[in-house]
Amino acid sequence: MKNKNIILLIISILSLIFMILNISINFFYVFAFLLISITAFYGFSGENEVWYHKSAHIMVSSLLGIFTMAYELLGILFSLISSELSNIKPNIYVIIFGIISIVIFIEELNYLKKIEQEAKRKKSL
Amino acid sequence: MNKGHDQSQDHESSNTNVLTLDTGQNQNIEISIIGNPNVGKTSLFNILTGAKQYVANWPGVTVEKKVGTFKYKDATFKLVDLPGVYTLSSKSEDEKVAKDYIINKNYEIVILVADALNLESSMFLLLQLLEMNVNIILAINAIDEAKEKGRIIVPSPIIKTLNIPVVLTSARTGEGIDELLEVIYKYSLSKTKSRVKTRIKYPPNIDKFIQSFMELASNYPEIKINYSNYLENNWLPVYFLEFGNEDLNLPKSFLKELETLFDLDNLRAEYTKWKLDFISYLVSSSIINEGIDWSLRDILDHVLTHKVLGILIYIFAMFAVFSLTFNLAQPLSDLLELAFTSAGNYLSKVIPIPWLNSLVVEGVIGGVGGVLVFIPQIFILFFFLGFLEESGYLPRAAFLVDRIARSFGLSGRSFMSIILGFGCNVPAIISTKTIANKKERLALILSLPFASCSAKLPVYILLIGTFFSSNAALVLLLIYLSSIVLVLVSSKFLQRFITQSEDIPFIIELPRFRMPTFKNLAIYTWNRGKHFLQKAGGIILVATIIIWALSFFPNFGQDINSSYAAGIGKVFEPLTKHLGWDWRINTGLVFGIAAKEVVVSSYSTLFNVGEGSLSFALQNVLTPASALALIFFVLAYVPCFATLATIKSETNSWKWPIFTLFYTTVIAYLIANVVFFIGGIFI
Repeated sequence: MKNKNIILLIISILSLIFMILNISINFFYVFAFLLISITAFYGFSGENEVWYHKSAHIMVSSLLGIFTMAYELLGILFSLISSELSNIKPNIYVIIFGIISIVIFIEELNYLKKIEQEAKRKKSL
Repeated sequence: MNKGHDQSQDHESSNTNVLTLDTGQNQNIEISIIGNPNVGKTSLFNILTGAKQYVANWPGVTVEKKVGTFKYKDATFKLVDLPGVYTLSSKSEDEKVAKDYIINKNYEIVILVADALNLESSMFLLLQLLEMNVNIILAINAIDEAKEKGRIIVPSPIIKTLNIPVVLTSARTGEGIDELLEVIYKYSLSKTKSRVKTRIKYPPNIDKFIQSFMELASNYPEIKINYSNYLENNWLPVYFLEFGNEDLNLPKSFLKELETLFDLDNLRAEYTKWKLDFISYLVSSSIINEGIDWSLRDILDHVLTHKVLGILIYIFAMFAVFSLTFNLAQPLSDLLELAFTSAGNYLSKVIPIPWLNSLVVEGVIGGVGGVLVFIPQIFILFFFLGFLEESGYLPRAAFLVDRIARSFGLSGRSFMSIILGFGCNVPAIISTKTIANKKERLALILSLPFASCSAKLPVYILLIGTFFSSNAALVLLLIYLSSIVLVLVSSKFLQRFITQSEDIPFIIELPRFRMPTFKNLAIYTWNRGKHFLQKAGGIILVATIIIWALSFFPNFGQDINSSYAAGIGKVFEPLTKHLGWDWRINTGLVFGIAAKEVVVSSYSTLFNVGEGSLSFALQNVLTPASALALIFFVLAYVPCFATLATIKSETNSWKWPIFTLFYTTVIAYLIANVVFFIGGIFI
């Protein structure tokens, strides 16, 4: 994605909001969203010697979001063993953030692959 | 191919003195696999032999030889998997194992496994083997991953220059394995004389040195006797040039004569430059790069190895693993508990003899069942730890903590041993063979019992579930982080009393990220978890019956407070009363010396309850602070018998296991007191 600063800002602000929303629910998710937010914020720091610095922070923070959703889904799956479906309350914030993270991760990966293809094309010319 | 079986023994290397038969008697043809760490040697070994050795995505999986067999066509092969090494020097134990094996030449051929994505680093070992005149097949592995990254390997320059067979393989996809088998078959059965040996062309100065060295050495009978294996094919002068005299100990008079003839420093520099140029030429002519300088690994490593974020992400990963352990396992654990309770209720009705009824229901079902309900937690913990290890994440954690570990006199490599110790302390202690610094190694061996092994997990889960259920994962994370800190601090402390120091930098090649295969994860989880099941049917069962007998006699279960078990526990009461531990807690700890799981089964028997109400019974005896003190005591006190025996075998002395026995107990007692004091203020 071209507008990396905007994506980093979206991730960091959104994760901070979800962190606050989870304070009274689950400490693990508070820690997870805080970490995602910090990872995205670090993306703004100017390590310009690495051309993929911002991409790296976008991808790792979105990966953390995906893993957090996977954690929630696994919990739901195993809860089905001992309780009824109606008793299970999924953490909707984690799932929403997880879906957003998947979209961001795939978009960024495709963008990097596109750059790679262009570089290959230039090399072959 | 008819797959054979893995003949290796746990924690024990195999002898390989099998006679290699000549062509025509195609049995027990001994071949070996060697290569840099983490290039896929063990994966190839498993494919060829059908063995199920666990393949970790980090260096140092194999620290001793593993032996297996396989059949191909009319030949039977004995395959030896050697530890991963970069050179054949004697800096560390694993290098010694590989070097001694190669020098003794009880094999027909050596398969050198190289990484297609890092061909250069394998070339040093390849040249060294050629200098020793070893018959080599070069297997360039991970060819599929190289293709994905736009890297094409062209083996013909290596084949033409070095005159050795080269096969491109992928242990992951099975590509090239049939070709490798065919090459092994043909190459090992061709008469030795018919194989064209590679003669390396050195620069004139090096050639002159080798010639003079050999002439001079012929005047020294002690060199002929002590270094006969090195003298064959002129390897001794080349080894001396490359690694110096440190592990050769050549006679001083011989060295003096040599120094008068040659400027050794200049010669070494010339030899090194020649080697680097030669390798660079070989690699550059064998690789065609079509990609650009970008990979997902670089992207992820940029953040995961960050000095601040990396540590935070590692803590998050461990937190997630412990949370999953508690949350996912609980429903399964409840089902198991229900099964044992039902079995106990049924048997209590059908067994008429009172003492037998008590033995089976309170002793065996209550005791062993009380431990077995933790099977889901243990297997789930190892499954997710295996995921982190197999994906290549854990070696990055070792890289991250290297800076911290260094301030405690250890290296990041030691961190890998600590992680292994989370499973079992025995393989963790054995894995220290990769540490070249003897002082660091001994301090780590003596401190590794503080690494929280899986046997302690049932005690933690029982006490955390009883007293800290709302923050269970956080408390477990705290225990494991404390365990790491304890190993580091203890190593630093012990190194003050161990002489001999040598600072060796930690070099780790970060493995590629991989999506773990379910098969490998299953092997990992089973290998780690099966010991728990084996112990449940063995030492835990025996200990539980003994504890039941001690609590039943001499008054036939009428008054447990005057039983033999109470007598044992009461001896320690003056030391533990202020911590809130009564004789039952103490007796459990005494029997926990045999195996830590026995602590839980003892409590089930001594509190005369099933696991469910054991929590309730413990709440009546312990306060949260005394429970936390008990957790930390169990974390640190006396390692099990198997660990003590391993310390003895690795240090070749009874002094160190005896020292560990007392050292860990004293430290555990001090920690328990500190935790109780601090816990009393905050909890």
